[in-house]
Amino acid sequence: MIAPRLDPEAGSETGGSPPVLDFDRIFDDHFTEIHRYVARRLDVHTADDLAAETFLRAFRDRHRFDAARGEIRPWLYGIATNLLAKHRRSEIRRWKALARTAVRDTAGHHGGHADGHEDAVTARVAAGRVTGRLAGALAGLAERDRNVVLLVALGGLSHAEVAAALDIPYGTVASRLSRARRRLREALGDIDPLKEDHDG
Amino acid sequence: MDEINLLASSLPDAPPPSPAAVARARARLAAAETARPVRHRSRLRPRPWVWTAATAAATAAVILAVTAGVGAGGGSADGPATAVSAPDGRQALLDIAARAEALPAETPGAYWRRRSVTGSFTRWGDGSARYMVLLTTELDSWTPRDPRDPAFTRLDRMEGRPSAPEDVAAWREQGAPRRQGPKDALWPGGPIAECAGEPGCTPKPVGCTYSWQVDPKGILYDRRMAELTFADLEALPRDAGTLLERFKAARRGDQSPSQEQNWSFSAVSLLNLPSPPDLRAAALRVLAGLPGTRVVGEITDPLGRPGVAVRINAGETGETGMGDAMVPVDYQIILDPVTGEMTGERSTVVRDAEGVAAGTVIGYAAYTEQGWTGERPERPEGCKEGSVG
Repeated sequence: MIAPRLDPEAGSETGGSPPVLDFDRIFDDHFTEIHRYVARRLDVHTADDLAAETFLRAFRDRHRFDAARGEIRPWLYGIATNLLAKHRRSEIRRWKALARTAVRDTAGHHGGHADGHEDAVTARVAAGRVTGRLAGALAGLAERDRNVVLLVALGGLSHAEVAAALDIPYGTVASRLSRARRRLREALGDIDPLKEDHDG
Repeated sequence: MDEINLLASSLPDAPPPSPAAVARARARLAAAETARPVRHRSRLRPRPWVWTAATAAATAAVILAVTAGVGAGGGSADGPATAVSAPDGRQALLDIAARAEALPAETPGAYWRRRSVTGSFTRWGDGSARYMVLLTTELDSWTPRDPRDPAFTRLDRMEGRPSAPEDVAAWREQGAPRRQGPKDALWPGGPIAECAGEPGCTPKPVGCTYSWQVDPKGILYDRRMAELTFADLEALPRDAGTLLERFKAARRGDQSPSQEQNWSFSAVSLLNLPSPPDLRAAALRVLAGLPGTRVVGEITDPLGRPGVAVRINAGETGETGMGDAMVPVDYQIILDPVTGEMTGERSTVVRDAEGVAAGTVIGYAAYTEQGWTGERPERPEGCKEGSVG
């Protein structure tokens, strides 16, 4: 995990003050991934602005960043997630639309590809069904549960990092995550590609 | 594999941000870094493409001391006289489309290159002694015709300066400070150039980042419509009605509050990409037919060139921080009135707010030079590799 980018030189100038965060470095290190996280939940175009806004907020609120409580990365994901809240309805529409179209689109590739023999087509259709069901389940999750599960799945955050990002207790992360996972598993139902792994 | 991994692998991935989007984000951050802490606002409404700053000057007053590539584009100040005499709303767009359509397609070279200047304004000072400071970033993007070749983008962040002459005067009255906030490692002397206010002052670069990447799929830099390659651009329909159907199909399953906004951005995306003249014409016609499109009129761009400003999705305004103020802003593209090429974009304040007048430009990008070239990029020295897009 990437440690917070601190600029020791700038920090020493201010004597006993907290170290100054080097936002140029923070931007370099994290802009692309924050953009990707937002774009996967909304769209690229909204992500252009929302990711930029995430770094502005981070800069504006830099005095609130507490290195003792966590690293820069989850902090940024937390800000982005808070900004996403204003687009909640758009996001739900996105997942619902994906639930409707995923199967059709993957099936529609049939014949368009040289490698479109039967097995490959079957595999694509199956993948489309999985995507569709998962998207449908995401649309039905409570926002607080969706935030936790997507921070883990798309952001790759650990439980502790999600707790820091959303400023919630560790135990709450675990309970929200298990609730969300249960819903996802239910949604997969008969096409559950996880079944074989359950014993392990 | 568990549900979490399955989610990560099954949900559609997103393309990376375009270099221009990264440049805008950097410019906004840079402007924020020079500003004093803003009084707390409970609500910011981020909207597609907004800027973080404002200027009190009209665009014509924003004559840049940027030297790179000025006048190298097709529509330089001494180029052909503007052909749009009285932009009559969307008819002006149709006229430009007709002119673009008649142009021959440029012969592709090894690379499509665009150099541009991104400007962001912020407000310094107190009370009646406020003045505008302009910070610029220069971007040099090379897009390979052959996807096996690397795409290269270089971004140079420049020192800032008080914007218009009246800003220089107010800045001098306050002792010509080179910084406003605490000392920042980014700008050793200050965000404002040492020579600011003097004739012929050229702000120095303060930092350089570049990216050098091969994308075997050859996806082009503007993905607001879809992930397009040069071959896709060639294959898109030249009929506006059919093209609009493609826009609808590309955004099927998408969610935006208004689908028409997506179609507007799809048209803008094609204008922003190296589209052949007849495709530009079709995109302009689609734009002319969408209800949110407003032709603002003829402007002089930050490089002194004539252009036609077109407001996109006029029903939708954003609000953004600008130094110590919050202002409502729009999004406009700038077209070459003769060729229909997009020569830049900008954001303006849509109504008077916190001492900033309506119509004030708060941020812009101006393409100083764009077109096909037989040259190839070289990896720069003394420039760090990083996320440019």
